Amino acid sequence: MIKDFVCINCPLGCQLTINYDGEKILAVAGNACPRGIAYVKQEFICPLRVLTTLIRVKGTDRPIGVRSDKPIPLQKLLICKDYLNHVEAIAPVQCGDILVKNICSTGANIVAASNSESKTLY
Amino acid sequence: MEYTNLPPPNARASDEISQTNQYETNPRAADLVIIGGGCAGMAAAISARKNGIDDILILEREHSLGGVLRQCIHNGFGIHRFRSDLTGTEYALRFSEEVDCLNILYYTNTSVLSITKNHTITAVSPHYGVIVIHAKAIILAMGCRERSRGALSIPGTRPAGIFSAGTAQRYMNLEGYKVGRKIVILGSGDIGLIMAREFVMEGCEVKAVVEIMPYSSGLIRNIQQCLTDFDIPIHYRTTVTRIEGTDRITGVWLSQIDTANRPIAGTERLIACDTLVLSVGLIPENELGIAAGIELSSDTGGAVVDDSYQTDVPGIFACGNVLHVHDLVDYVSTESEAAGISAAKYIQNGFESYPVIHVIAGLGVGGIIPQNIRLTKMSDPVTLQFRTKQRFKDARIQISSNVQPLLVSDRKIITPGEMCEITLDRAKINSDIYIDIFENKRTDENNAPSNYKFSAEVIVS
Repeated sequence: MIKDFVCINCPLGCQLTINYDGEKILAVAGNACPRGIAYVKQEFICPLRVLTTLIRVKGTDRPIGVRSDKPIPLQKLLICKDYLNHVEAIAPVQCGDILVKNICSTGANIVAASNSESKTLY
Repeated sequence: MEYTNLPPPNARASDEISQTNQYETNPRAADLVIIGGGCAGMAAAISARKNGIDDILILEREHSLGGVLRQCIHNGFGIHRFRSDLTGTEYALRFSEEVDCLNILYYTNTSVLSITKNHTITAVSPHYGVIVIHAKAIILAMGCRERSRGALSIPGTRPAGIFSAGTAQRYMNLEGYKVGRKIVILGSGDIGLIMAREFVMEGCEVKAVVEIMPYSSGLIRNIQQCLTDFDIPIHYRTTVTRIEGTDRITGVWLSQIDTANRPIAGTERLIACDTLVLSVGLIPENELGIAAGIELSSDTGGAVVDDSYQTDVPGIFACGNVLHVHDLVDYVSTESEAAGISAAKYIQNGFESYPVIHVIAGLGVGGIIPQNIRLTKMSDPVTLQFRTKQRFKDARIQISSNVQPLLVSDRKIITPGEMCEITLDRAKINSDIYIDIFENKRTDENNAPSNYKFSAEVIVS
């Protein structure tokens, strides 16, 4: 059986085609580099994505950008986001600070992706 | 987290520190003034400093460095440069921390009002009032702004709830406001696609992404990870023909369009929404350059530059999105570092005049950077960057000079959304260079010269 994927590792966006039988991948075509093969193997079993979103910061009126420190299953992205809606970081936050450990049992931590700003400066 | 230059803790120069400095008289002098403290300006400043320029001043209109990266909380940055997948904010921090670490001076909250051909800059800031600076060299790094609804001329009322994608991104990511609940996105540029995903994450409903072209102008991977992953529909060859609502937008009319871009009767449908987000392209923000009389290219919207990123005014350089719109910030950083080196050389050696040759676009080729190449004795390669005007399949890019092909490069697919990059050996360049694209690449190599001649005639006429 044939299935198509788009590799999201880099801006090239290789269009990958796999030939598979049941749960076994027989052949991969269309990848420009080895990362494409690793990607499609993972994507076929369980797509993974890095979560990037906003959370509130106590003591400021601005949100802060956060990310998961490793990719998490795609179908858990919105579950993790729901959880983060109830999380408030406490200022000051530095880029790289771990804010949530092992979010929703995915094994990934949520880390700050920028420094919090203490006041409105506009 | 690894940094190229690890800053000491608490080394971030606050506004207070950068404001107690040697520039207290008016008018002032500086070796190098960089207009814009985004990714281009910071990279140019760092590279000029590393190449021996001490007296650098960055002028930034926002309250902190970083430019548009400050509002880019999504990942996908830095894969080329740092070999790791960073968010835009993390990417900007690596540079702003290095700027602080190198003690490069910057003024924030400072808007530049004008520049002149003899390198006089007039700026205003709440702290200093009017500032006049005489610079030995200037680097333009102002970035770009978004095309607006006015540029599209969509009929209908003028209700609240219409945003450009970058504005919506700023409201959400920097200021913490949700722009709406039921959203239609017009245009499939990368910012619009990224925002579609962010809207879903923030609990909004993205009704549709509407694209007038038969393909997206954004990256394919963004279609996958922003739309397909979240089951957001995208409608190609469709556009918004009318906006409904008086106080707040209540809906938009969508129509399919025919090959002449006219709406097809009978395909109209009303989609209820409270927000319309426009992601319809970027325009280099060049008002300062225009007012200074710098020659601009109508293809790129940016200045005409040579291979050292110098404009037609000696000592004024341009880099980043103000020069041409880039796909990736990694490329902006590389280009800006080259501009920083050129500005450093100009300050140290003065203006060096060389004969130049031109780079000429063939059929289907859009804006090229650089437009001119200096005939120097240097051995570094020359990189040409350009976009195509249409989509090509199984295409061959041919670079030629003196009716001789210098280089051919075959691509499976080329879209206007993706910048093409070709590196040339400088030693081979001695007369004007033509860039041509042929579809359905020929297997018969012997045909190349005759076919090339045909294309060259078209260019000449």
